[in-house]
Amino acid sequence: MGPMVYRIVVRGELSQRYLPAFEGMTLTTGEGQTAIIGPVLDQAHLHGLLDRVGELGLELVSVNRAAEPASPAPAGQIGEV
Amino acid sequence: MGLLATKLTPPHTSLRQVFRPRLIDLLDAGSQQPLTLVSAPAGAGKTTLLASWSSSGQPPGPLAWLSLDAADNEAAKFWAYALAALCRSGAVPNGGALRALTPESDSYEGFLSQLASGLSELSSPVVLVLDDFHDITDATVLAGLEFLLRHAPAALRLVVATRVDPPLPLQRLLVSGQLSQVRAADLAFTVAEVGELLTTCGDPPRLSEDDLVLLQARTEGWAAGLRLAALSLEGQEDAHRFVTDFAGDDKSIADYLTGEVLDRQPEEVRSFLLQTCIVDELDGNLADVLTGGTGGESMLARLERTNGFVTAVGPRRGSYRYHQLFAELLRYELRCQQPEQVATLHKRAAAWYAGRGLAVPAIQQALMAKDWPYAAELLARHGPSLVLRGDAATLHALAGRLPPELVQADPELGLLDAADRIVLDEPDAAATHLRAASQRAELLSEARRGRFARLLAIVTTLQALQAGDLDRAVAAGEEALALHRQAGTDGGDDDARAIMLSTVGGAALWAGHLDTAELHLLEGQAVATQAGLAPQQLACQSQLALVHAMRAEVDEAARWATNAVELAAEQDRSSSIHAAAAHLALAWVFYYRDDLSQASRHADEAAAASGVGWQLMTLGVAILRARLQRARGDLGGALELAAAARRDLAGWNPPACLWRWLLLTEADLRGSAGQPQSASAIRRSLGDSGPLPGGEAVVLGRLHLAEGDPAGAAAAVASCLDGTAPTGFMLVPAEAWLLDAIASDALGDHDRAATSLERALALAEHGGLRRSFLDAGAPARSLLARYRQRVPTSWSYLDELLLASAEAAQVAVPAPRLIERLTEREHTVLRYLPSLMTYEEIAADLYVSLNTVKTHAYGIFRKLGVTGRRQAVRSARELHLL
Repeated sequence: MGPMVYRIVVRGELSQRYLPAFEGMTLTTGEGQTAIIGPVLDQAHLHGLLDRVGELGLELVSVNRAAEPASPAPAGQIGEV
Repeated sequence: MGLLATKLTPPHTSLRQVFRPRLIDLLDAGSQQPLTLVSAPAGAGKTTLLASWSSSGQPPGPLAWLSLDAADNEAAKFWAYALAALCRSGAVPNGGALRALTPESDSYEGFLSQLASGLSELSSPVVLVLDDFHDITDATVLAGLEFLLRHAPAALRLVVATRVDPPLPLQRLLVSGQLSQVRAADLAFTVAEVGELLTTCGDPPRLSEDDLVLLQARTEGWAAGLRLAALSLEGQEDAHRFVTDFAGDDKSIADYLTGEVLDRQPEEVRSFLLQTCIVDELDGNLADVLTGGTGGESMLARLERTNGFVTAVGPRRGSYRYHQLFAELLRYELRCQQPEQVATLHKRAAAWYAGRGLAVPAIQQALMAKDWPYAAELLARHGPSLVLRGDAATLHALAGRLPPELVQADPELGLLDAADRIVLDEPDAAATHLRAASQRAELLSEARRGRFARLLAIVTTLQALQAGDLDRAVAAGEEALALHRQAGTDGGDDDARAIMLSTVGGAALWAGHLDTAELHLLEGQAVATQAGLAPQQLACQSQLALVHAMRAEVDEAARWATNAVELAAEQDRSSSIHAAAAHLALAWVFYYRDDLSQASRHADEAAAASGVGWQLMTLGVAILRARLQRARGDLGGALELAAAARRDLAGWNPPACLWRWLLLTEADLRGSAGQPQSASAIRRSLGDSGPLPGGEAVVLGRLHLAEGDPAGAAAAVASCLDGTAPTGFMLVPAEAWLLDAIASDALGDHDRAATSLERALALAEHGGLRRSFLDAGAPARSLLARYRQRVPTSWSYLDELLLASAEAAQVAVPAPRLIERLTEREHTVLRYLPSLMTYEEIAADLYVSLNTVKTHAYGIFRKLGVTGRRQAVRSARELHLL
């Protein structure tokens, strides 16, 4: 079984400037929010991503483990929801 | 440990700030409580507010400032900085207890208690501001702060600024009214404050009240967002339009505005920002190196004045720090827009830091550039200095970020690892690393091979010394010396020279080459002092103490040893091999001065400090303890100790001189115990190896006397008297002359006996060597009594000796006792007592409460009839409970 896929939602729509901040994840924007979605290796990795959100002064809205694999858009791109 | 002044002063900005009295008032009131928590996300304006408060607020007492970062997340460093901040605040008078306080690992509780009481003695409460506290997660540090909050609530007011609520007992403090908080909602700018913020701009935009409301709503009063908005608004044609567009946009604020702000900067500013954002702190010089241009200094000053991307830091002008949030955003922008530039910029920064000898930032930058070979090279070059200055932990952390295959393959890094193992008392692991490293030496480039060879020789010497293989140690030491001489004085390699001299000196010492040892150690001491290398000073001084002790030069030994013990305490190395050496030297000093209880105490300290890895030290202590038992009148005990020492030698090859010394000590004891045949047997087993080193000759003389052969005794010590004996351990001229006196007396040459006795008395009195006479036992006593009239110049001393000698003949040894048997739980705790673990750590290890551990400990003390942990360990050992 591979790494779990997580969906971290923050307030505000992020531009591609933020892609390097969340390596290996996709950023999907819509309705004033951004979903950071992608495979998360383990809890340490997850907390690292959450720390990054805090460092960037972004408001964390939710963190969920996705039931399905990530959306078809390959990692490293912005998609519209 | 060098402390950075920049962390101890609040950041300062010449940008006009909005004065926010309601928040200043909140802090003024809050600091009446033991803990004020300023907890809000990045960019909320915490640091700015606190800096502002520090200059215009009304705290209840002097204010100490400490800007924290991830490297401070460790007790020794954290408290060193905290203490420095407190002393800087002006709260601590010169000569106050807090000025001399240093954190010590063997009693954290003791340190905290002293800190708490030191604080209570201050004339007013002191406010300690801890900025960026979210990086502090270490349990020991947090426990310490909790301790202070509980025990010094009146004297110390903590103001903690953080992005994350800290793991302190906030609920309890809140409930008891000891916590005040300033949170994001408090820090949020009100509409009025937004208006004021905009007026501080260079060219204030004209906005209506409605616009201000919109702006405040959109940013929710978030300071960073507002700052960026203000920048974006500067010189906007249609400010109203901007605000409405902004308000209607769903983009993340920082994202939107950063884009706006960057787009509107002139190209030179934009590229400057992007190129210099990769370092947190910089000056004009570094900025120029990064941009490849000039004018960095004035650009930084301009940035600081106009838009607050950077703030000035530190007491001196010219140093600036990027606002963390902006720096992050700029870095991502950089990676997005010009990814190929990133590695280049990091490499430039690395080279700049390396050029200034700032090893750690240089390596960090090289790692960020993902330039592994360069990072490894920097690590290898600066690694020894880091280890020598006591910063091995940082070295490990940095090395850990290299790909492991690279570290394993790199011979120089392998060598550093070996050195580290030696320090950690793991001789086998050290030997393995050493072998592996030397096998890979050919992989190194020409330039590095020289340095590698020199370091290899030093580490080999050290490893051999630890393993007790003196022949190899001495050989490796000579090679190290030769290689260093070849290399000449390579400026900046003082570190390597200091450690080489102290190591080679050590090898000479244990091999019995005392004069050579003294030479090397004195030079090493000088180099280390000049280069400010405290650990190497300790190594040289403690070993010099032993050199003098081995020559029975009691006063010099005492001087060096006392110094060394103090140094060890300062450096938190009271449990090191060097502290052990100093204590062993002191043990001999007190032995010779006939202060047996002090001698015993220092022998115990030496044993405790040296750990299990250093066989040489264990043997040295054993020999002293045997002599001590004999001096107490317990010949049986002394013989047991000597025999036990011989058995323990089974595992390794002791150096010849130590081995002979042990055997001769045993033979001497047997001679005194009325076992002359065993004594002779041992003597014969040593064979005839030419002229004897001085100490051995004296013991041999005594053996001859015990066998009833005074002529043989006189012959044995003859070379000591005319100065032809080679130096070695325990050549005590006073003993040689005394032996000659006894022998001459037995042979009927009374004149010679008298002159020799007089000589011996003079030497012993001058050198403080009472023990030399007392050890000679009954024959000496009889001689002193009969020749009293013939040595008028030394009557008072002679009488002293006679008295002491008579007393010594009736000495009783106070034995350690066990009043009551220990319970099983007490035994468990007892096993932990010799370690450095605090009671808290022991409790954690045993999954019981602190109180439980303490109860057991006190039970142990009571049952052993002692009053403290160290005495308990000592008694327990003597009773073979440990």
